Amino acid sequence: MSVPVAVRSVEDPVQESAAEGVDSGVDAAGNAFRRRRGSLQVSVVIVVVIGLLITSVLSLGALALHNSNENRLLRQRVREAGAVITAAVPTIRTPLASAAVLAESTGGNVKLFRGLMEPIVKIGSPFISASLWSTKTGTRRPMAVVGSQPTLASEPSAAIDKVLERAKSSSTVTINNLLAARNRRLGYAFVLPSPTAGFMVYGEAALPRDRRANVERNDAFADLGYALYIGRRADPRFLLASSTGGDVLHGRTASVTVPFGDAQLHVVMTPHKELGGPLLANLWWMLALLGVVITAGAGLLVSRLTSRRTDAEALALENARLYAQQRTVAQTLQHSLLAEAFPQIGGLEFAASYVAGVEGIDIGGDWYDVVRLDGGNILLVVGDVSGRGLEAATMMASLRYAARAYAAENHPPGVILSKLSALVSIARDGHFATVLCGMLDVANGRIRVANAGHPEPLLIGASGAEFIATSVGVPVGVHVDDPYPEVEFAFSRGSTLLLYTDGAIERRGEHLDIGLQRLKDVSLGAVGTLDAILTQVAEGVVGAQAEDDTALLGIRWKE
Amino acid sequence: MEGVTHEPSGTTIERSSGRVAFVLSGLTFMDSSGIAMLLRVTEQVESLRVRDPSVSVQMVIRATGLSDVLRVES
Repeated sequence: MSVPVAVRSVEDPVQESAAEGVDSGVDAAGNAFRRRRGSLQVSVVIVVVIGLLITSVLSLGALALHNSNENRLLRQRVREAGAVITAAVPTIRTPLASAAVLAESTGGNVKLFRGLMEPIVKIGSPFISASLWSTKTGTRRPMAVVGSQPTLASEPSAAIDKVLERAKSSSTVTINNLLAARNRRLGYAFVLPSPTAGFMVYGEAALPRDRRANVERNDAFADLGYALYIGRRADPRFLLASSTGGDVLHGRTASVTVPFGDAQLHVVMTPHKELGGPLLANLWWMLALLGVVITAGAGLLVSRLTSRRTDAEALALENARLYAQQRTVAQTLQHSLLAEAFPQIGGLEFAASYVAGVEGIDIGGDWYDVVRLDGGNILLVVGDVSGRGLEAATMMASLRYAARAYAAENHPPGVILSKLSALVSIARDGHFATVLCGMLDVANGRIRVANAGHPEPLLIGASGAEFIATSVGVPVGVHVDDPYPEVEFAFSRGSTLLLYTDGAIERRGEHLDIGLQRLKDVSLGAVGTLDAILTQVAEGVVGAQAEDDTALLGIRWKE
Repeated sequence: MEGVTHEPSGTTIERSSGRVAFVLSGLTFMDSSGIAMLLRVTEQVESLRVRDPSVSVQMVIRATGLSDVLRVES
């Protein structure tokens, strides 16, 4: 954006509005900066919330997976235990059945019975007592006993009858529940499934007094606690044995009921450790921990990045402010270099405009000058040093004041230019300058102009606007030439002469002719005071993205 | 730009025994910095030619009075 600095024919104070415009822009950006701070917290919060959410989901998922896995494995083990128990049934049935067959076929031979049963009872498993009974109702005592006395023998007659009846009518082993008895036993009765069977073989197994039966360390079920009940349910009254001596109904349990003779055995098992292994068991909290750590890390990272960005934005803001400040300084400097009062001469009106190019924080090399000389002539100069920066500005100052000095020595424009050309050189100074130098003879109303590579001035009169044809010499600093050729033209009342630098006619990507025509058209269309005209011309010819500076100098001879 | 010499983009330089030709066919626009660069080269060589400049560049050379210094050839 270009900041036009118009100079009037009297001195005016340095414009403050440009600086104010810069500051208000910075304030608006400051508000945006504060809003960004708030969003720093929000984005961190969002990241943390999402992270914790994901962590919880994963962690709970792992926990659920672990639980279901443990249950599955436990049920599997319990089924195995049930299978083991079921496989044990024949070890009970077989000896009983063999003894029954023997008894039936030998008519209850006690000696043979003893012979068969003694080895078994001696081992103590599956029974510690084996007895042979007659199936006749009313039987009160066994015919033979091997091993310890059967508790059944001391039971009331009704109980004995009951067992006999059940054994007779059952084809499998009849289980006799003697848990309530003093010595806690389980009875197994068997009668051959024949209507004429006359003998019952009866064995009894001792249940642990404290109901505790620990499994051996290397047993397949060593890592599990168990409880064995007779019946279908985990009824504490019917607990046969357990690994703890009591119920194992706490924690994770699984149970299975298997047929046992004419009864059922109910097994409840509980794991002593994680069946699925420690990894899956601990995975849930490891995930939770990892998730929290990662979430914290992510939150920190987001916070860091956001604050970095905020810092970068703040830095950019500061840079923009400093840039704008320096630009204002440069323009103020430029303004001060050029803002000198025009000479007050009756009938003549002067005005000037300087428009800085985009991007320019460096001072430019354009200048204009109007000097009243002894003898009444007016020196008119407009010049454009190539490039920008301190070197260009230095050359500009040298040329400007040298021109005034040479003019004060009464040299004509052509000689002034050749002397300026001797003053600087492109090879040594790196820059050249295009200069248009004119001398206005007020008394005769004529202007003599010499041109060192500069665009030709525009004369606006009653009949329209025309560029003055000059003899274009090389720019100052290129050669040391003989005096530059001069051109003379009339400058009459009511006409306006416009001197300018190439920013007024040159645009990237455009033919020079178009720019020249535009200047002509805009100048013709401008109305009002000379100041107003120059402002309109400046607005009309300077492009929005003009990189080059533009200086305009207007001289009008009032009617 | 000042103090640093660089070729305007789109140009090539041919050197042969102090005679330099700038082929400016690719150059669409030249401002004072470009002219300054060409002029600095002119100071250092026997002769300088500008080959195939675009119409815009030709107009700038002519308008700045440099037609005899930066000689144009096609």
